[in-house]
Amino acid sequence: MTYKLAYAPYIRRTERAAKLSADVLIALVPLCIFSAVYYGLRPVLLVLSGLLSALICELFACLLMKRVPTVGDGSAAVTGSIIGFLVSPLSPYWLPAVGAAFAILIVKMPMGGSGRNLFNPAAAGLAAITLLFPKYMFTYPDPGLGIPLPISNEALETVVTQASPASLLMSGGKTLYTPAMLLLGDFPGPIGATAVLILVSCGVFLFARRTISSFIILPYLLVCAVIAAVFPRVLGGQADSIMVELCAGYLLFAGIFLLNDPVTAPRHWLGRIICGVIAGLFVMLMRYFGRFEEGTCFAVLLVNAFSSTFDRLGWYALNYKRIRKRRRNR
Amino acid sequence: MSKLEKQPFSKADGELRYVFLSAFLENNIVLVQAIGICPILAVGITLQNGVVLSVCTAAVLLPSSLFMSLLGERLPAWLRPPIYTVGAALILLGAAIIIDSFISHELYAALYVFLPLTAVNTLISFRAGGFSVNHNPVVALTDALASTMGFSLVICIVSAIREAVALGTLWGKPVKLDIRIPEMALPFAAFLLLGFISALLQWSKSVIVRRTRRKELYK
Amino acid sequence: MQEVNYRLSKFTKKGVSLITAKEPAASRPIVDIAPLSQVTVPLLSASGDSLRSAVKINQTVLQGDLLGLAEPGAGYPVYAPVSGLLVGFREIQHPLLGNVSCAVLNCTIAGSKYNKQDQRSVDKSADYIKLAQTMGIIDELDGMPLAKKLAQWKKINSVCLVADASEQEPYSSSAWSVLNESTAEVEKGLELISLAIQASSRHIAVMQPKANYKKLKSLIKNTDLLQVSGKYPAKLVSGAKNICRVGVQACLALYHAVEYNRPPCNVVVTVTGDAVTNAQNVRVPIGTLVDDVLHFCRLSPRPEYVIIGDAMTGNTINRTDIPIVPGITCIIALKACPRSSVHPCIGCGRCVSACHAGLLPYEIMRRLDNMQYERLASLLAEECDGCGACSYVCPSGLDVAAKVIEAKDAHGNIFLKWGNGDDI
Repeated sequence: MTYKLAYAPYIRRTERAAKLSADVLIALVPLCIFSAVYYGLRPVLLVLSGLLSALICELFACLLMKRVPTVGDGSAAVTGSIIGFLVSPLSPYWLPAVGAAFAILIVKMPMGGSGRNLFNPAAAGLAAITLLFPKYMFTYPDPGLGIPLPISNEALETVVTQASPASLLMSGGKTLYTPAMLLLGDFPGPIGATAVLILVSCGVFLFARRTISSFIILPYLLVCAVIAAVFPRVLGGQADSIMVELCAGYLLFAGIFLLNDPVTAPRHWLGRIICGVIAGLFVMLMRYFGRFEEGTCFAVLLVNAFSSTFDRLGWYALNYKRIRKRRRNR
Repeated sequence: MSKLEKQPFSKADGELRYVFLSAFLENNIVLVQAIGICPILAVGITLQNGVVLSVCTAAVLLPSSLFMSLLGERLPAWLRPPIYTVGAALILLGAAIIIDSFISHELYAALYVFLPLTAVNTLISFRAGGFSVNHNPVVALTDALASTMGFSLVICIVSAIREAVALGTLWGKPVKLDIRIPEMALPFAAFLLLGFISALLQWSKSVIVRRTRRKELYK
Repeated sequence: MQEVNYRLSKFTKKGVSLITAKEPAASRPIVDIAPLSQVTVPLLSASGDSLRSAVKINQTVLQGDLLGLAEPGAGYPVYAPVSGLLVGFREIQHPLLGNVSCAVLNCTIAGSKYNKQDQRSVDKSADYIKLAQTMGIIDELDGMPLAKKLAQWKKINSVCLVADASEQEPYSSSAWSVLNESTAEVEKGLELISLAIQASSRHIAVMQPKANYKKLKSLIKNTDLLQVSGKYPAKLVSGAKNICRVGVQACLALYHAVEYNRPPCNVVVTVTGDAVTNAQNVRVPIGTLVDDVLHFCRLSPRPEYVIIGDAMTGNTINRTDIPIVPGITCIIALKACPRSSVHPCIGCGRCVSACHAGLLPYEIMRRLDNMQYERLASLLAEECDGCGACSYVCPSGLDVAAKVIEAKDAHGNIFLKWGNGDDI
């Protein structure tokens, strides 16, 4: 009578890798609904376009590489929908699809697929479409009108566009937006990044589910706020400057969804803090000196490149004495 | 720095082929060692630029390698970099005058700071300052030639693709190509291209290794 | 008794909260196994040397007779756990002891060399360490001989002696059952150990619901009772004192050896798991085969995995004809392993926050997989104590703990070959 062999332990927590992705997708749903309230059905279709494109590309790449398709773990769906959430509601339907295809086919799969990618595919896809099509990325409709956007691409010419807070920050001057407007999301911006209150509650939800860690996002927001307070770009008080800088563009969204991507974020708590600080610094530098009104995706990519370095840095800093002792004994 | 033994001259034949192939393909200076990427990113936009940069690199690297191989060991280590850098700069000065006044002023303007920068390119310091010092002149020259060829190969491929896709031309003549992405002229596109070419090289190397292993197995 | 400043590790950030599956075995009384037909006693001294057999084939031995002889003064002898007829010897590949020669006893004769009546008067000045050695008592916490542990502890000043019945792992409840059944005897055994090593204080550690704790508290008179709390693996810490942990069954065995001059014959094991119908704590003679115990507790459908030890740190065995020795406190039979699928590491960092030793398990695993052995040296894999928390939390279902332990074990040989890893 023989039995099977396995490694200890023989009980496991029921949490699965797909759960992390599922949590993120659940957190994205209220943002989608919010956007539909302001702009009609169009943003939902844009998100779906990104999502579908990502899934199809992942399936295609897996077949090409003769692997078992990894669509089931949900990371491709997260990538695609994040790209869909960060384009303008006015962009054509192919834009998020192109971004998602770039993310999956050029950034994620050549590096070895799920769990092995060095850079956050969503940030890379966004960076690509930002560089290639800035005029689609940064024209936003006026949300105050309350009229649903037309579904077809051709009818978009007539829509009233408005300068986003991020572009107002770039040109300087006085901000048009009151804190209440900013918190309620009544300002032009990417599909999912304007609803600040909903974003914050999504972050709290993900934090409660232990999908994201506070070690990255808090230092990140703190550094952004300090820089915004010390070097304000708008007329008015420091509080105004902090408020507008944090709410404009997709700074908050990137902090919650892009920086906390488990594959590319550091794992050690000290490494995470360093990562958050550097990311905040890069984001603000991109905003102050960059070519585009919003360069957060580039900052995220820059930080991703150093994430394992931050990890080791943090760990060696904490365990320096132990390692030295070990060496001396050897 | 410890002095390695000079390679014996008689064994030069097999040795040379190995040195050449190693520097040209197997450990390609750009794709594997990641040296000299900067000019490819910045000015490897048209094939013409690529060819001119290749020629300039050859003009600088071959003499400096030869010189360092002959005299390098007699010079103190701290004196070597200034000497080959100054030498390279002198050569490039001549090249710049020739390009500017006899070939084309536009080309000279397009290359702008990257032509003089070739003098302090890491490629020169690695091959001339590192490899050549410890090897005999023939080996050093072979290595310099192979390195230059490896560099030229990569910059020509990258610049040709970028020119065709970004500007729709090849060596100034229009090509029939439906895709037109002007952003290919930006550095990030060159990074991506380099990454994929490098991956292709590694993949083909692994295929060759697997083939030869299989041959050895079934012999 | 002297007041000690005593606290448990409060690193609540590190470690994992485990499920408990102690019921129903924990609340049931200890059951003596039905008379066996055969036992297989390993003739291996607890110090690791094999023993000479004291009995020839086809000779009868009584329970408590010497079965394996040790070198005089050095080894730890083995006594016959049951009365019977020695029918032969067998070589067995034991997962804990390695390759070991075993004496096979046919349990045909009843009776014992000892009975409860011939109680001796306890001699307070006797050398209990010597006694533990001649009786071959083994501490079930780590499988080490008790005498060796005591001799080491005797050299240390200010020892906090703890009888550890905390059983933080999810299934086993044998220590609790023993403590519950013979509280006074365990307490006396602990007192004897404390006398032998001149410990400055003695404690009993349990991890039990409040009702059980209160009940036990009222039974224990002279010893401090500690309730272990915190995440797995909780560690006992105290200010300047050295914690010395001893098993409950070892305390009991020492008490029996002193009081009745009886060598340890039985061990109490928890038999549980979803493939066992009658989960309970069973008292079995040393050398009972795992198969016999499982069938005594009625193995319901055919199980896929049989585990010796507890669910976090135990070993699976592929054959069940191996003898039970002191050190085995739990046997689990499972229908299936809980892991459903394996993904590549997604880098969530759960293992880093679970590791109570403060290591980077994912990094060790990656370095080992990529064969970057020189990098492993500065990752301190040798500080791992194999608690298995990293594998437990891994959402990708990877065997992280197994990899870290592999790196730890391989430390001596691969690093010599690959340099000492001075580059970070």
